[in-house]
Amino acid sequence: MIIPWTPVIAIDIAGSVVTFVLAVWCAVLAREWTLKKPNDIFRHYIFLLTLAIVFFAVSRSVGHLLKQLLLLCHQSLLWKQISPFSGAINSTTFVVIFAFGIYFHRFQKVHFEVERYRNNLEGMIAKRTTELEEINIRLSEEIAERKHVEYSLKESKGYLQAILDNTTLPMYLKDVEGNYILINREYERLARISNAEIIGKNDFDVFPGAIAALFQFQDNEVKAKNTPIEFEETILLHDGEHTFLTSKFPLRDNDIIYAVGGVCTDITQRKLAEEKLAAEQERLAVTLRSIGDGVITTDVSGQIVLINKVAEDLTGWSQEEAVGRPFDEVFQLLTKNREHYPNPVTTALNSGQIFSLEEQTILVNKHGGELLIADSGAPIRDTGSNTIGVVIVFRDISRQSRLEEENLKAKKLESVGVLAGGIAHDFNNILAAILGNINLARLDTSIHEQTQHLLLAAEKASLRAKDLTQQLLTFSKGGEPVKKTASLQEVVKDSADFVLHGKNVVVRYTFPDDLWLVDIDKGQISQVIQNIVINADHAMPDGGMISIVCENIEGNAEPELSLTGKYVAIAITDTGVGIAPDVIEKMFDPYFSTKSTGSGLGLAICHSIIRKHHGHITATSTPGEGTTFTITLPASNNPLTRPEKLPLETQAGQQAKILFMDDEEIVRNVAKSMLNYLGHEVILASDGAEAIRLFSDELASTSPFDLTIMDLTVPGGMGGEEAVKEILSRSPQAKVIVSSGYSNDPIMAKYQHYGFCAAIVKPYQLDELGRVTGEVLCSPPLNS
Amino acid sequence: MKSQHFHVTISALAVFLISTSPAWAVQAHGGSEGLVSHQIGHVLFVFGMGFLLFHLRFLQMKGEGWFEFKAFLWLIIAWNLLTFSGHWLHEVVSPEKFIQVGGEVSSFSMTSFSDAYFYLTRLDHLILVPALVFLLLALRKWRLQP
Repeated sequence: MIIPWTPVIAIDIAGSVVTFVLAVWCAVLAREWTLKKPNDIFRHYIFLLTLAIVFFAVSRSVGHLLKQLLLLCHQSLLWKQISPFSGAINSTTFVVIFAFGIYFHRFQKVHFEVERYRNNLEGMIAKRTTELEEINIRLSEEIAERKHVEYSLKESKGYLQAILDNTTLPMYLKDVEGNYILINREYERLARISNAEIIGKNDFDVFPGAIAALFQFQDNEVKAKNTPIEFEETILLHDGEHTFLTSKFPLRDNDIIYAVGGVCTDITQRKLAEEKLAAEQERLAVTLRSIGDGVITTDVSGQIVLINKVAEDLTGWSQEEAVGRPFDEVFQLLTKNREHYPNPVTTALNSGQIFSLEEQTILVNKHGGELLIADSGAPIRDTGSNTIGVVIVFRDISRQSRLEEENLKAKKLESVGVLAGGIAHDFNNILAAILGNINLARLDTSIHEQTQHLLLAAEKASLRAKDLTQQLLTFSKGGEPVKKTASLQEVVKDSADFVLHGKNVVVRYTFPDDLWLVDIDKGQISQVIQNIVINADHAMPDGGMISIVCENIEGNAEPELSLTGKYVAIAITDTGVGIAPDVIEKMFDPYFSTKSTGSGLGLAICHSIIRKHHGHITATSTPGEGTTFTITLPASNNPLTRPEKLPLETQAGQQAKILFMDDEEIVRNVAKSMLNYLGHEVILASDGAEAIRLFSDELASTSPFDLTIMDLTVPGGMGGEEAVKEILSRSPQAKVIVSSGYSNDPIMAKYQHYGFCAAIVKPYQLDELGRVTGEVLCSPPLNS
Repeated sequence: MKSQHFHVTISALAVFLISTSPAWAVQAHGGSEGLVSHQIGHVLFVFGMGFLLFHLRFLQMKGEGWFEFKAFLWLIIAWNLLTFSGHWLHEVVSPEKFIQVGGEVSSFSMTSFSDAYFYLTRLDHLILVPALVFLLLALRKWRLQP
């Protein structure tokens, strides 16, 4: 069968053309695919394989087309010469394709490895990229934050610098080496150095050695303790000494100190003010300590803030004990009825006014002792009139109270004395007449014996009336003691023995050998001793013992009585029934008596006598155990007064011419009778003026008066005190005796000072008048 | 072991090819050496593509484009086998079978199955073009992948 060859040629040509086109297309696609992932080695492999196939296809297509073209052009010979090259190219291409084919799995393996590695790498890269992105984000954030911080820092630095430069406090910063990092303007101004000059320098470069060493020491201490420390330092600056309170502090970074800063406060003025305040407080404290009254201040809660020395002494609480305690714990008050007294601090706070305590308020001290106080309190206000506390000022008025009581008693006695003094003069004149006439009547031997007894009774009654008058006169102004320096031993012993004679009481005396002398009116002191001993005897109706102890006391041995100097104390203690406390308070009052038959004057007279001797009398008693009276009398600085020895020839019977002056006729008459009885010639005068005239008349005559007796006081006329001066002026050798019913008149006690030779107290008896006149007549004149 | 097997196969083919008598390829090659080397080239081509196809099966390359690529491989192997046999038949087909008019082949005298097969091998573009089309499709799909 013959088959046309044309289809073969046609398909060859067409196929070659299509093959060529497809091959080129494949090459393009393969390249594009490869370029989509340039690092993909497998794509490169496929690309190269494709290129090999394309090369094969193209070379074959070109060869076939060339062949067909040459054959059509009847150039078969030429084709025969070319065809080996075409075939060789194809063969070579086959080998190349083969090579690619057999290395497919190698490339594939490498591809997978590379892919895996790439995937891993990409994973790692992705991870790393993510990390880097995160880091980048963080870094960006940190950068942003850092920028913000830097901005804030810059801003803060600006603020800081502005603060530093505008503050009035000097400030500085040093590094750990002590070199200045910065100082502010105030520091520059004070130290007179600029910031630029001081930066990098240390204290020794800027300040004197001693100050620099001090600063360095302080800095080292701050660094060592790693804590802020305040220092007070005094530095000499250009305008004088300044005292600074410098707060130094370490600057740390992770606990590592990298700098030391300091802020200085100029406290020079404050220091001065503190010193002034301290001095003021010291003065105030000294004033408070020195003040005579107790002062306690409290806060508004009533807690004690201050207590001065006097208050310490009076309350028994020391400053250390009292401060911080409630006021009413330290300052316990009772009324005179011993009821609780309201807290004065509360009163002051509630009222807001100054107030005073009631009279007779009793303060009970820490030890239970009691004392009377006068007290005032007031709220303490600050400058805004706000109450910030209370001040209580008080003083011990126990002594004052006692003195007031004493004065009250003295006034009572004085009122009695005024009354007594008023009647004593006249009463004594009357008694003088009665007693004198009785004396004279009893001398009459012709009267009946029964009448003698009656006269004797009348004389005794008159003498009792005389004693009563004398006692009343003790209260009067004129009842001053006629003191003589004497030892108490004799007076006390004689007085006690006299009243206790025949009593069922044992007396025990204790007198020291060196008992000091006292200036006393023996009669009055004897009266005191007798009164007290009689009371002691009455307190022991069944008998007992009385102890009388005299002793010398000196200084403040009796602080309650505030005695200073030397005193002699007489303590009379009985073992009787004792005296109730309420009775003791009143027993020295006139007319106060617990006895139904008592006059109430005994102890009042004792009190008056002792006061007039500038002494004290006190009584203490325990009911059922006994009573002690203590009398203290000032010791005398004078030697013992010895009585003058009178000449033996002194006798009442010596004849004398006597001028007798008295305003009372009855006294003149009885005195004349008594003196006549004694053998004297008597001329009478009714007052001082008459006496002077008579004395002058007789002085000019041949028989002047040997003796003149004058009444001391003449109502409405010249008394003895004035008349004696006139008489003595006319005759200095004149002998004048003063006579008065005021036995305790000072002139009677110290008659010599007034020019008298002796004194005789009305009413007097004949023997007393005879003795006195006899002594004077026998004695030399006063001015001889 | 695989490598040893590969070398034995190559050696056997070489002996076979060398021992063959000179043949006309579809496109004549000068001398017997040219034909032999060209035939070896086809064999290597087939072997390479077959090797590639073999590995692709084991690698289980799935996804777009691989089917077309495999088709390409199968077709290119087929084309190689066709052209290989065509080259061989060209050497054995009698020149008288080619009827020439004016010095140019105008028809072919097909008297046997081998003549028919020979004639068919001359139409190899009918396989080569589809093979390249599949290759183009494969590349196109790959390129279009994201």
